[in-house]
Amino acid sequence: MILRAAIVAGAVGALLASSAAAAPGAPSGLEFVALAAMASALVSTVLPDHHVGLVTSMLIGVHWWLGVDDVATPWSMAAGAGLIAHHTALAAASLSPLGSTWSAPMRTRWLRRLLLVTAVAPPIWVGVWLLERTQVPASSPLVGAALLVLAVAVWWVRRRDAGEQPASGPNRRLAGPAS
Amino acid sequence: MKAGWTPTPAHFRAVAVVASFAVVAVLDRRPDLLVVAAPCLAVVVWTEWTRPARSPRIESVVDHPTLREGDTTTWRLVVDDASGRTEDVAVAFRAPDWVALEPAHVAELAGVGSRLPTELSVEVRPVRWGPHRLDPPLVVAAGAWNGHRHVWRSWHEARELLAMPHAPEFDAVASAAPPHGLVGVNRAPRPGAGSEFASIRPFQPGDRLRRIHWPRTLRSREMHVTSTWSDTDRHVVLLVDAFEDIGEPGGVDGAASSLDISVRAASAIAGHFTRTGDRISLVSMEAHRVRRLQPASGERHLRRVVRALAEIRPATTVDDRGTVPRGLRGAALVVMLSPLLSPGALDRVARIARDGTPMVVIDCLPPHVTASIDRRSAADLAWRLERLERDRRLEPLRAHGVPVMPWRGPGTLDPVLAKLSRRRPGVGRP
Repeated sequence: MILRAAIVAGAVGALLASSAAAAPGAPSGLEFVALAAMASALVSTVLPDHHVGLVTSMLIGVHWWLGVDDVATPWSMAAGAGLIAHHTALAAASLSPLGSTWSAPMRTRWLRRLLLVTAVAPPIWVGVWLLERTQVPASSPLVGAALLVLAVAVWWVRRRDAGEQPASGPNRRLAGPAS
Repeated sequence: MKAGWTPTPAHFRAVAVVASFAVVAVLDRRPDLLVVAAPCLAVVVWTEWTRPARSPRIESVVDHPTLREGDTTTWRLVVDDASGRTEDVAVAFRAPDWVALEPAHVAELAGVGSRLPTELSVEVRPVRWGPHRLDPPLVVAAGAWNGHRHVWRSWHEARELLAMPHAPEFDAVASAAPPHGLVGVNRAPRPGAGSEFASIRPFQPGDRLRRIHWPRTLRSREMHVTSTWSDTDRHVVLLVDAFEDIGEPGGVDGAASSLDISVRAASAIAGHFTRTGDRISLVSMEAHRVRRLQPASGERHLRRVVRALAEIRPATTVDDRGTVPRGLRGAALVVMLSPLLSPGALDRVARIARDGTPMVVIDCLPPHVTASIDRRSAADLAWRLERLERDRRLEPLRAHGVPVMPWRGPGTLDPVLAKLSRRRPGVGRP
């Protein structure tokens, strides 16, 4: 139950941070995006092992993208923390059915790791803030290179996941026929 | 079930968020989106870095596959991963009918971390006798951040649990019916070469010299010998009528159906006669077959009898024609356990008694069977008519000396056994 609450709380936190960072003249319709994100967050509490959580994350991203003008706003770290809290709660909730007992070491491990990955945001924010102050001119080759790196990275991850190794020798006997 | 590690929706979500936020950040000059997506990027890198490569070794073990109903055993699941990258294991055990699991919740969760092999266990308690099939547990092993998942359910790992009937306390102090034969541990009603002292009597031709009672011989100046009762065994047949199962079974802690009473009583009676050294045979008339266990004695045979009782299946749709099964001839005592509702069962009793075989009928009709019937309904009326008809058909059997008694535990058979032990074989046929 705590995990289900954390799923919604994470999404709400990210949306609040996005709203706090939003410029006064933000385009209309942001409220609807926020409402849609909230609705999908609520649905994902019932279906944590589903792609509804991706819709919530994307809607939070859209809310941020449309509403925030200040690139160097420190609220981006709060939004990132909310987003990762939402993601982690979903991943943990999809591990087992509702009502399962989590041992104390498991809770500690997941919380410690959540804090660790949240701490990645501040150094990147500092880099963005410095980049914003230096006013680097636009560069098409740089954009192209960045997109290429991204494409290669995604392709590499997909290839690793697709190249699933079969069960090892003794386990194949235990695993039984595939269904 | 698919074997091997597969990426989860959580991993797909993290990758998709990072990729889409990064593309927009690059194309729209919005590096703030990279800050928002940075923790997700860390999760993706972490998940890929610690991605499990080999499937964990999973074994399911039931400590005691054969036990008494109401007893508890442990169902263990051992997960071992040589690579050490399995972090969390979730297991869903499914309880079949008449089996209780403790803890009762369906899933057990363990953080494995570096402590491998890890073991998850549930307490299994069969609450009713009979065979129970334990479906294999559903095991989900997860890597870091639940990014990759290994789902395991092997039907080779289904386990059979056989719950033996709980034998209630039973004892009989009266000697049973006159036995046949001249071997065994029971005192026969006739003198012979046994171990139990009978009397001191004058010497007769054929007496063994070691039987001479010297003190009496010297006092009386006439040769006297000690005589003994011959030792015999009895062949007791347990005839279980499984053509009907009347009443709602409630398990070992609840109400009993007629078959529950029959099986548990038969188990208790078999235990009693085994302790007294008698030979037991079992004839169970059940679904589409008549199962027979040849007469034998001893604890090992008792286990065979109890196992056979545990495997009885009621035959509620089979028409009982009242036939007498083979294997009753030569029995010192037939103990028939039946709810005695069908005319076929009553006919069977009459036929066995007519053959002159000493028999006891234990009425296994549960007293609570009408509890669920509305007093004013037609079903209640029909049930009362059925009971009247049953009593009417039982009356002539009782009048001809066939003892019919309800199962009451210890001492149930005492009055009948005492009466039968006084009767000479072949006397008292109805």
